[in-house]
Amino acid sequence: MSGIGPSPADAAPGTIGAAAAEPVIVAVASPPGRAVRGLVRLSGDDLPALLAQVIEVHPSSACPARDDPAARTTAVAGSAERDPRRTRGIFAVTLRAPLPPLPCLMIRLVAPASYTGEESAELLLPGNPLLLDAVVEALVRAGGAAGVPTRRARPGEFTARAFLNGKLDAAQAEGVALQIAARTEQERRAAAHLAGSAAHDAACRWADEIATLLALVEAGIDFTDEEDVRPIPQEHLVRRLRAVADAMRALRTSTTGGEVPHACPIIAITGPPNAGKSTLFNALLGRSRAIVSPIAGTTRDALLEPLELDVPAEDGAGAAPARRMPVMLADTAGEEPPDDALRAEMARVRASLLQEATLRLRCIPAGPDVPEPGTSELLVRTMADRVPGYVAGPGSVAICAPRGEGLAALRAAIVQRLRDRTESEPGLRLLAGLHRGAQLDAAIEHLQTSIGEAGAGGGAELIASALRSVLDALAPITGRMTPDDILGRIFATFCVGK
Amino acid sequence: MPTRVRSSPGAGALAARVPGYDVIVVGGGHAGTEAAWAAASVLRHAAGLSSDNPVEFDARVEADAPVGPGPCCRPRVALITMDPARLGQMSCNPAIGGLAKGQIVREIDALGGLMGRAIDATGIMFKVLNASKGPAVRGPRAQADKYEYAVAVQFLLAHCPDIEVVSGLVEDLEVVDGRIRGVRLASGGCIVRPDPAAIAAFLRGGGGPGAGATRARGAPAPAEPIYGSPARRVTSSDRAGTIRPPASDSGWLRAGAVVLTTGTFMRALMHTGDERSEGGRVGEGSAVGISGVLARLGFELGRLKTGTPPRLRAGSIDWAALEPQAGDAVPRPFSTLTPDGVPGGRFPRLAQVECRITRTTGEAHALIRANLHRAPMYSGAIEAECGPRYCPSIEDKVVRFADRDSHQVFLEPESLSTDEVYCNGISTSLPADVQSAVVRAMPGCERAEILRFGYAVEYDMVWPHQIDATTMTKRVDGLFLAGQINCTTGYEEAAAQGVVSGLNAARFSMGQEPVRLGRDEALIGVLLDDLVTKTPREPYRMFTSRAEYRLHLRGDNADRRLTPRGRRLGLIDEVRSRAFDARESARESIRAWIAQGPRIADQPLAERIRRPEVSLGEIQALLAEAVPGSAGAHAKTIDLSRLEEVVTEIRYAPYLERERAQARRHHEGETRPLPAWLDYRAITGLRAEAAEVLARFRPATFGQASRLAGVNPADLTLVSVAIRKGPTPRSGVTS
Repeated sequence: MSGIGPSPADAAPGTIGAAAAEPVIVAVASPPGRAVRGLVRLSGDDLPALLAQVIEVHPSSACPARDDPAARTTAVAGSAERDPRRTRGIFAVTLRAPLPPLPCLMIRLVAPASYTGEESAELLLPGNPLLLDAVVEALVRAGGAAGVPTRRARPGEFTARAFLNGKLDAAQAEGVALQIAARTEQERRAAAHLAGSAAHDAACRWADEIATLLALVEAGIDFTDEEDVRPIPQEHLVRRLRAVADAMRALRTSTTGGEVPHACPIIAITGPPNAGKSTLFNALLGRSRAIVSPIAGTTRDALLEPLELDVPAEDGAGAAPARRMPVMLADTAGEEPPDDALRAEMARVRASLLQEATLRLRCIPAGPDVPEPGTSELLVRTMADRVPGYVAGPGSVAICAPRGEGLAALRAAIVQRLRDRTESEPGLRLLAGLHRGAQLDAAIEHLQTSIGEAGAGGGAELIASALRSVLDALAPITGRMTPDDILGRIFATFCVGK
Repeated sequence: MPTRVRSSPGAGALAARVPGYDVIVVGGGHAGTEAAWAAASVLRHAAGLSSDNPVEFDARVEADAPVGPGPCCRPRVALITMDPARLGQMSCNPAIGGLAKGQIVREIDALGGLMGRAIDATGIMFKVLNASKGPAVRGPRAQADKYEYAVAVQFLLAHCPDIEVVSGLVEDLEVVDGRIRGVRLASGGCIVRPDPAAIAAFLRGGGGPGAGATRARGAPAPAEPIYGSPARRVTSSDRAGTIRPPASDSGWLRAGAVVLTTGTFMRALMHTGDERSEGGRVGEGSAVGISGVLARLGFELGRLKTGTPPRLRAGSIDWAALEPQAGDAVPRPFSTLTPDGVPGGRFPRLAQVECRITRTTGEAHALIRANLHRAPMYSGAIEAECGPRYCPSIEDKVVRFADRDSHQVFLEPESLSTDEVYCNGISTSLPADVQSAVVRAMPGCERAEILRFGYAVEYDMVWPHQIDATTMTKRVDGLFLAGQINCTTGYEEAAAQGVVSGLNAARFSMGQEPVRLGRDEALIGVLLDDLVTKTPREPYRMFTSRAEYRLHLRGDNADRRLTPRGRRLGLIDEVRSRAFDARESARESIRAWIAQGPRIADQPLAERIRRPEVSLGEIQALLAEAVPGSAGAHAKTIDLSRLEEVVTEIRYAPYLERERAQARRHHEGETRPLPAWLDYRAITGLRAEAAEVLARFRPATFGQASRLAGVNPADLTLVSVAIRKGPTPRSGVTS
């Protein structure tokens, strides 16, 4: 084999460039937030090989579909061939390392009789978002280890595959295309929205420092024949790398310092100036996060904070335990005409946040009825105590935030609205889409490797390799750093060239 | 047989009807000579002719065997150059290899190319750069005797019966229905045969190592060009070079594929101060017409500049007063065929020399600053916007790094037979009087005599997004571009493209699909992929940091990475093929011995040798003790290079595994083609930015597309949907 990837077939003219098997794609398919059950979906023609690595079968409880011819014949042949890794049906299985060792139900569909037209499976797991994400990540890793290319699905990719495999007709193609484009645009905006948040700024600073250090290390590899180039002393390198690693760990482990729950919807508080938005924000958080004053326009920036909401037990669920739903709560500047540069900027920030919000809490001080808001809005009549005997209109909630009145009803209404959503929308998955926790973990791991190499006097090429992996891990947050960017830093630092 | 033709019916038989050549290569520099060589190898292999490799040189000459066109019914490759005597010339720095470049030379060699063999035969100082660093980043480099080097290239070409060297200037290209048909030579073109006397002289020459140890006295006679000088050939047609008119009709030479390697010669203009002259190198002409032809064909051209430093007379330098820089005590060759592949069978073949180090002075910097207005780059006389950042002129260095009051200058002898010395570090286009002053201010050069002043040269190039990584142009089928015309710099980068061009030109002429080298396969693959997916801001030079799989793309495993594929493609002759198999089996034995080896300090041998402090010598000793019987005796005589290759694999194993995993992840869609009928602007929902970038670059594969700035994965999903839907009447193509 020549390359380290799949090798091309030179011998057969015409086969160069033939499509290789598509990788297995994995994604959390259940809506964001905690629920009783969560769903992880897999699709790809090499799926059986992956399942063989990560699924332990319970032969006794296997339940192949009755109409499956393979199952009918193999039922006679013995349980070994009633293999959920190859047979259609619903099976009780146990996940194997590197996945968390959990029992779960697996719905197995065999190509071409599946939504995507490929080998597919859905794993029914406890509905903890962190667990689901960990399972997805572990499946991706297990695939890599087993030589089965596996990765996270991109937005709309299951549908795109269904189309490419002829499961959707051509008329639906345009729809799919537009949907994907729109989703991507949403994600792009979501990522852009992250800019300015403390965590994002920190990641950018780290990426910048790592790129600088990488340039210094690379200069000691590619430009050692240059008089002006002095490789960075290893103890300086180690010290600076440690500083970055410490900062990363601090962010990763802090509970308030920007750690953001996975896959959680954004709830944005909006409305005219002085409508009590920041007061509501603080009341829902249970602490004074936003500055509150009677002066209109006190809030200029957008604030984003994690919050958990209690979810009441579902009907008929018996003694289901109380659950909590993680959300991101956002406070925004009041709606004012953008008649100067500051207000224009405030409006831009507000608009971008509202775009990403799953639900908007439109705050209007109690008073005469106002038109009912749209489906993604909940009308909140604030300062209800100022209008004696005030009763909120249908579809709205009256509150008096400083006294805590109406907050329970508001929380319940929010939970109800969020539970009504059946489809997960990428725009809602602002931060989950970036898999930030996993990315940061990977970045820390690679950084640790580089520190280990540098500390042990390891080769510059090995340190560089680890540092590049750090930058790759941060790339979804900070944008990609190309070799040209690194070379640019070298040329800017040293007089290079004979 | 050709299937790529998108023109009129009946064009399929074109290749069969074309009289003349299968492949024409225009330009005889490092790209052109490699292209001709690779094309000839592939064509010979396809014709079922055993490759006739000039390894046993002495036997051939003693038998007075015919050289040049012979066994084939007709020569299949024409190599057209303005001056055949300068085939393989080193125009600038008399050195091959270096960081990243040395690895590329190993790759060229692994693909059967010329460069490694030529430098091994003509190197006068070998030095592995980064020798103290890991094997992945070691860069072998050698100073060449530049006259011997060019003759060595000619010597190898002369032994290939399928290459016909044509002296002439190409004025025009014939393109019919979007496909190349041939080139038109200006009048005065002629075929040039190699000169057996010069071949014999080259074989005799060189002396042994040490024979010319003191360069000052007893210098050997300069090597004679094998393809002679034009004047000599015209007057003595019956002797050295046999001349006959080219096989053409009315100036047209026909071929199934054409490779253009114009170097710095397209609309070339040289500057020294305000003196200007046309030409791509001192004493040579300029190819003016070809730029116009390319522009007429619709190619988007750009203009680049590069420069060269002054050359000094060795005898006028106070050599002894300067700090020496010596080569490695034990020179290491580039080619895996060395020493058998070197004439005379010895390596190094030429006497080894030292370089000297001197420096520019603050006084000289002040002078440069005072005369900046006279430097064409600063006076605005040069149209080209930028030269390479990593190869700045001394005036650039003085301006950009104003705080430095001195820069190192390497004084490098250019030949054993002449006393020219190259001043590595002061490339310049300043006027002659300033150059003299700058040189004379350098320690040891107070009385230095300048043999040739430095100059800048500006030239036309073709923006490289117009070629595919196969080097074929997207606009004209069968037209290939290689070397500086593609916005690269460096002999090695040029030669690398030459190999790929020659290979694909030959394949195209036979109606076979073109091939690309992957980014995970070769630095050459990285180079070409970068060229076709990025907009260069300066001439492209290879650095190891450009390769995401750097630990895999080493110089020491170039043969393992590339020779098997080269063999399938017909690039590898039998001698090299056998040599490769022998090396593979040696490595296999070593691996087996290591696997069975004893436990050392309570560690399996395989674990033990992972430790970098365990030397190769120790490992060899351990193996010799551990391996029983006759194999043990064999283990004592292990070639340390083979052992090092195996140990390197073992030591890098965990990192290589990580690179492999990454390569697998990135390989998705890598080679999946993007059909030519795609109209990106008509794809519903595709973002305008992505559509524009895709339409400009027209990437050949999803892999290339994914590396374009401004194209994201979702855009590519849309593109796959569009492909799945197939061409619409709107896109104006029926298929």
